[in-house]
Amino acid sequence: MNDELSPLRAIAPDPERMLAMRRRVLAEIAADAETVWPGRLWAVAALSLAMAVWAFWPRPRTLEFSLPAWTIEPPAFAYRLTPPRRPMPRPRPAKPSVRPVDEPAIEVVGQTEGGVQLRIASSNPDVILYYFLDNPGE
Amino acid sequence: MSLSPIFGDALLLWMSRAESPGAEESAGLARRAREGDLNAFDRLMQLHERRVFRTATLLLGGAQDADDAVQETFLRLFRNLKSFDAERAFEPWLYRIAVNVCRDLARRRRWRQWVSLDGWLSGGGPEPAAAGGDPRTAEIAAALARLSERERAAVVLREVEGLSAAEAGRVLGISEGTVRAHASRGRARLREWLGKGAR
Repeated sequence: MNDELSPLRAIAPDPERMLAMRRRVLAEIAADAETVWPGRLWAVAALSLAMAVWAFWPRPRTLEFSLPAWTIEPPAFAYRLTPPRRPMPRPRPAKPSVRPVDEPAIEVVGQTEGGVQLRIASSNPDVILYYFLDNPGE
Repeated sequence: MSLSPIFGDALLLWMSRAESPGAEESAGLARRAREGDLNAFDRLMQLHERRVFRTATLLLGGAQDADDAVQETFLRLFRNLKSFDAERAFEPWLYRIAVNVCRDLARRRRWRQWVSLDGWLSGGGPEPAAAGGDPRTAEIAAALARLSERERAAVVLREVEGLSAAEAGRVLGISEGTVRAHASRGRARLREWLGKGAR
């Protein structure tokens, strides 16, 4: 079998074509070496990673900074250009939501030396007030 | 006159080693090429282009695709030089790259033929290897092309390139025993086909 396959060992490439092939390979390798994009891509990737780490790194939620005064208080000429604003009306105090007690019933619950315990019941069954009066004689 | 198997193996080994470049020289050139010495890489290509071309021609069944395979093999070789282990043999590593390139090209070619129906319309098999117009070589190459991909690779690496079963197994990514089995089956089929053709 070895003998029968020996003619295959005579297979040889065309030297001219191999020379052209080697030149193409070397040219492509040189072109690869000139390509700087991989290096730049690494730099961009590293920068992006650093920014992501900075953005997501845990830190206090409050941020202290100072703004220039004109960002808070408009400059003087701004008042001349715009009419003075009317003062904002003060909000009225809200009405108490608790219903007034109708005919409060005052009942003396107990009496001690120190004072009197009163029970004031209203028409609202949920509201029961207790008062402790010191020195009831005064 | 047929040679005895033992003497035939020894002759084959001697022939393959005689034409193969020195392993130390190849490893040295590969180290220099890895450091960017393109002259060393050019020399490395010159040393191995014939064997890579022959392997690709026999695996792909044609010289036209073999040219592309050789170019792609050396490009991949250069791009993977960083992973080359100088402690290990250079040639099996190069063969492994070449075999992988040939597999990729064959797959692509099959797809191309399927899409364009070239293979169906022409009705022919792969182009026989051109080796100085020797009809016997073309006949053997045509028989080789009829083998399965694995058998063909095992026969080419073992019988033509002179690799040991262990080396061929590393190149093909299969066990030594499987290489022996594929090579043996391939040899038997070739013997049968070539014997019928001779009669």
